[in-house]
Amino acid sequence: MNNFKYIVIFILLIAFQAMLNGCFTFIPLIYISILPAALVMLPYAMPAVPFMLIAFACGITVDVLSDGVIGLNAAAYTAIAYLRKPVLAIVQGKGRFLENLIVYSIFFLVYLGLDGILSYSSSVIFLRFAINVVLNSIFVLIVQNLLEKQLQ
Amino acid sequence: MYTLPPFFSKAGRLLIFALLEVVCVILVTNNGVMQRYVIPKKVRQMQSGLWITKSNIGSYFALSSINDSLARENASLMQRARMLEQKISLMENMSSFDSTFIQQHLQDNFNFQSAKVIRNSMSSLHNYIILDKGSKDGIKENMGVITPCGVVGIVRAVSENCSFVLSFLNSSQTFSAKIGQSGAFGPLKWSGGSILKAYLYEIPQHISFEQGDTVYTSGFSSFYPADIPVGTVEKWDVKDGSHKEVEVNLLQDFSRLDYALVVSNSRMEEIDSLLVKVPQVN
Repeated sequence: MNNFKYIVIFILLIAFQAMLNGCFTFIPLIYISILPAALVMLPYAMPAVPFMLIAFACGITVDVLSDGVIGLNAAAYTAIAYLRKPVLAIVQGKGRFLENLIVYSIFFLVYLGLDGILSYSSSVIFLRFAINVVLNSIFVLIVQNLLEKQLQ
Repeated sequence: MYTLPPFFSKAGRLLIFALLEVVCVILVTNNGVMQRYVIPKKVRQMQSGLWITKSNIGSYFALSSINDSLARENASLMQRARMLEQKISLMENMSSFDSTFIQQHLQDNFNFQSAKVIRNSMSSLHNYIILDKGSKDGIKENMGVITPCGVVGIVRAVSENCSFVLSFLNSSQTFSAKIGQSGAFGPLKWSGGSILKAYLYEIPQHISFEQGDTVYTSGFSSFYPADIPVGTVEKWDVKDGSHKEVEVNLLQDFSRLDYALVVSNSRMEEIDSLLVKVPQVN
């Protein structure tokens, strides 16, 4: 039952992510993504390989649904899946915001790396990275708190 | 339940992660307009950087063989330089030694041809020398071999490119020499000991000379021209109460013999044919 709830929430989140990608096109600098945080919230005991495959599949789905460059989100989600356990081991008990900051740092490091590190100037990339990491961390913190209340 | 070892599990995770990332990069490269051009360009730049590094590393490890090659080349150049120096020195010596002498002997039907010594035996009683000139250079058997400092030997065998010279440093080799420009003559023979010593035999007892007097070729041989200085008188002894045996310091140091002059006498055949007739006369 618990698993079914996770799957439903996940499908909804993917759809929501695709919708967000469609809505936030007026500010190209900002990219709001909630799925990285959702991925981190999946059961900790889940083995790494299936977890990475799920993350990859989610990423591809979001890329296809949002009509973006296929592979961008998939690469970033897979990186989060691979590094989730070491990251959680470091930030355990130090607050959800810090956890989100690190998760989004990884996400945008890969995402922006593939998206624009080769073509944009380093200052633009750094600005984009900093803004997106902070905004997403705050936004996801709010969503996490809301979801937590819903799941309880 | 069987579980994979931690290392393999960790390596497997890393491998799958890497594979998925590679798939993503391929997808991005194929689908992103900018990435389609930028990523391959950057990959090419990285490739060229790697190639340069690889080439540099390869060059570094090839330094040993390059050094060997340079050393060989250096040795070859040094040898060539030395050869040229010798040649120049020989020519200078020839001219300074007695240019009129060569001119004179050229007129006297003696011709000279320089040759490089490619082998020089000095360690036995029967020594030989190999020269780098042979029949194709006009070298023939029984030609004399000299230097501006003395007699070297006689050509005994000739191949197309080389010639075998019976060295003067040979217990059976003698030639006629004289003391002073118009002095007494006798056979000069290597002692078999030092390569710088020879003995002049059969000098009449009444002939006087001094220590340091020069010993020359007498010119009584068809192999060598006359008046080539070969050595200086060191000391002498009276033998059998009638003849002097003179110790001669040779001018030519055979251990430093790099070049020699092959002497051809155009009258050789004439002299030989005359000698053949002698028994008939007798």
